[in-house]
Amino acid sequence: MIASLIVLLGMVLSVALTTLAERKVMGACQRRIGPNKVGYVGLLQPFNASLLLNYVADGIKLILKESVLPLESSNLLFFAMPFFTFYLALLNWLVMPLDFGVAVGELVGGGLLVIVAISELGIYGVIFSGWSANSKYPFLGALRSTAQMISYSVGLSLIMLTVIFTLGTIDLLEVITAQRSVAVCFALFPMVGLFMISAKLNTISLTYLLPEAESELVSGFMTEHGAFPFACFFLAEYCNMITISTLFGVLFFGISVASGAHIALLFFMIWLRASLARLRFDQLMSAFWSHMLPFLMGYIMFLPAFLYTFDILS
Amino acid sequence: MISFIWQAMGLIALFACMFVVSALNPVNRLVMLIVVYLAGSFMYTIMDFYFIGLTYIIVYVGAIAILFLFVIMMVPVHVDFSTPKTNSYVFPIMVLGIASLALGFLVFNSMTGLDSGLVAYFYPSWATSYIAFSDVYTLGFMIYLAYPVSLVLIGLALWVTLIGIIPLTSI
Repeated sequence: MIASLIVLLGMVLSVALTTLAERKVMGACQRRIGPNKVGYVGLLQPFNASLLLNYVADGIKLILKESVLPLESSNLLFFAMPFFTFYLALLNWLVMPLDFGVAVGELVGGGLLVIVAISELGIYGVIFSGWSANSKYPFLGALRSTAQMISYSVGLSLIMLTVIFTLGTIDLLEVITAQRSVAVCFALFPMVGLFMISAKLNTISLTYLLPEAESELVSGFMTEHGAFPFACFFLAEYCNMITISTLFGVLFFGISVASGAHIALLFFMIWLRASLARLRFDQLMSAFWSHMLPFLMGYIMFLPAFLYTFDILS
Repeated sequence: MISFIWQAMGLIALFACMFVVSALNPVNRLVMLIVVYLAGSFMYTIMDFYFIGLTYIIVYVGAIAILFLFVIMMVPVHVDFSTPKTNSYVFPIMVLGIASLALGFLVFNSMTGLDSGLVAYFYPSWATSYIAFSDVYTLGFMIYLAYPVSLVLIGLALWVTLIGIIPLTSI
């Protein structure tokens, strides 16, 4: 109980700092300083107390704002879904390994399945929040984001399957243990690249690029959400980003948050966001269904044969 | 405590089933259907069938229900509030009623301890069967050996739904 509380509080705190990191990296990519007024200018700025206070203040501002309920919306779903999304985003961390042999909780025989199931449930937060607002643009945005998330979560599941094939376990702690001698990233190098891409696209964390799409949709599925419900979506997205980055380290490198493994993919995501133009939506979908998925299916057919051959030869 | 949670989940699933039938908005019906799936997966998980429980969520909730949602949300559904012709409902309701009454009677009997009720064959320790067999084996034994009567009754209910769709949609 206490352990989970500590981990979840740390999670929320690191979400706040991730937002800062994103703004700083984006600033660096665009040759400007980024936010530097609140704390003391310098490298240690994220750890500056007054800056933390600023983020707390941001949170308080969002909490104190009035939550507006759209007319004829489905009230219960409208209010419940942001909290549901945030809850699911945090739930991952109860099974996520923190280091070699260290995890808050472990479902023996669950492992990766739990994480896949949670990410599938997270889709409902998006689609229902868009639908319940009873307004056109959130609804269109929700359908779009849902289609995107479903596609790329299929991809993620298939990539996880290759790791499961290779290591012969779905238990996350065992996945880390199995990679003590050599990381699986060398054997599954194509999957590393594909995981990075689909991780970026599965978390709706092109935060505010494709889902939010200011030019076509007003603000995506969360157009009508303001104040604290919006803050929940915001936190949930960054939390998902950190989760998926950690999962990347766990699956392919056998290291977890304790080694700071997630920083690399997190930086990569932000870097992509800052440097690449966003795809058109149909390009995004065809990139998955007609390019990535056939490759993944072929790889999954190929991999067991490959492993089996090695078993015979050894 | 565990059995209490298990029974509570069963009750939630039952009430959610009723809402699936009775709610007016199709999307709300689907929300309730998702609740049914989730409660079912939770019941499996409580019985230590992690794989089946989680697969329930991944397959039914994550894929099938989303498909339904897409269809229902994007197709304009006009709900007809006018009184339906009652005789088209009579047959399905009758069979469903009989099946659920029989099932309820069996459950009540087994809960009060009057009778072994649902259980046709009682394996002395299911706990050891987890070690000897896999999840799917154990579940198969439970369904086909221990609870055949309820399997037949539930099959009857499923059959009624299949046939009931024909009179319901031909109004």
